[in-house]
Amino acid sequence: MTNVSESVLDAIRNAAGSGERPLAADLLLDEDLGIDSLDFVQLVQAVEERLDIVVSDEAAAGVKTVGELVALADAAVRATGKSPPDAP
Amino acid sequence: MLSRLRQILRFIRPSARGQTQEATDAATVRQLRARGVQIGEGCRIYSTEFSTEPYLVRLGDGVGVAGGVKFLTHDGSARLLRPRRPMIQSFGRIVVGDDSFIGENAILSPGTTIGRNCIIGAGAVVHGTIPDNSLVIGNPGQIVGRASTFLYRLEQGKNTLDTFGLPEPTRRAMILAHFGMPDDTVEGTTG
Repeated sequence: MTNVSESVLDAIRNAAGSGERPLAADLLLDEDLGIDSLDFVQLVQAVEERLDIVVSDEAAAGVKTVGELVALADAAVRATGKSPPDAP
Repeated sequence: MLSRLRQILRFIRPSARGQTQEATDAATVRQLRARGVQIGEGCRIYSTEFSTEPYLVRLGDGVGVAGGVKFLTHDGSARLLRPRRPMIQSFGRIVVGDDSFIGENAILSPGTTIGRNCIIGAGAVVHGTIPDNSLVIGNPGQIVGRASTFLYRLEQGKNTLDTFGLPEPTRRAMILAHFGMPDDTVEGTTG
């Protein structure tokens, strides 16, 4: 697992209050993890701060699953051309 | 991106509640301007709680203010100093930038400046300077992310419908149908 995915999964766990529970890529952020629209804004903010990236609002709006958020963050990190920070 | 936000936030379409509500909204703005509130174009304001110094409040263009929002332009605690300064009062201006929205029952403290394209959540207590495109919630109000992130997400929300501006019976029917609820309205019984 990459540092990016570890960072994103950790941020999702914090947002969902799900402890150390494993997060499958196909879990739905809202229905499975109870992350509502306000939580989602905070989650995006947390991911951006952890990885020092900016995620497009338009792209973020379409994110439904854990895996999609990881992929979005991964693409944003790659776009910066920088190495991802150490995993939490 | 800003033009997209303006499309979402600016209240330029005909009112969902018809010309009567449009006229009421316009009358509210006129009355507040007469009291000294500086109000830009295209604003929708459902609060009249502009404190005793309404002339210290300035709202930009396209601002939405929900019901119960309080604009506090003075600090009432200054009265505690009156034993030694009998006439003391402390004031602060409040500025709200273009295309921002202030949610139900939010409180804006003296000296608050809210940027453009911001969303202030219901019940938030806001103080200080809020940068453009901020989403603020809670007491004390905290910036939790970008308003634009929230709006894009909201636009794709499963309970977000295109019902604004429709005649009320049509709107009601669409909403009930969306939630799978029966429309058993008996004519004349709705509010």
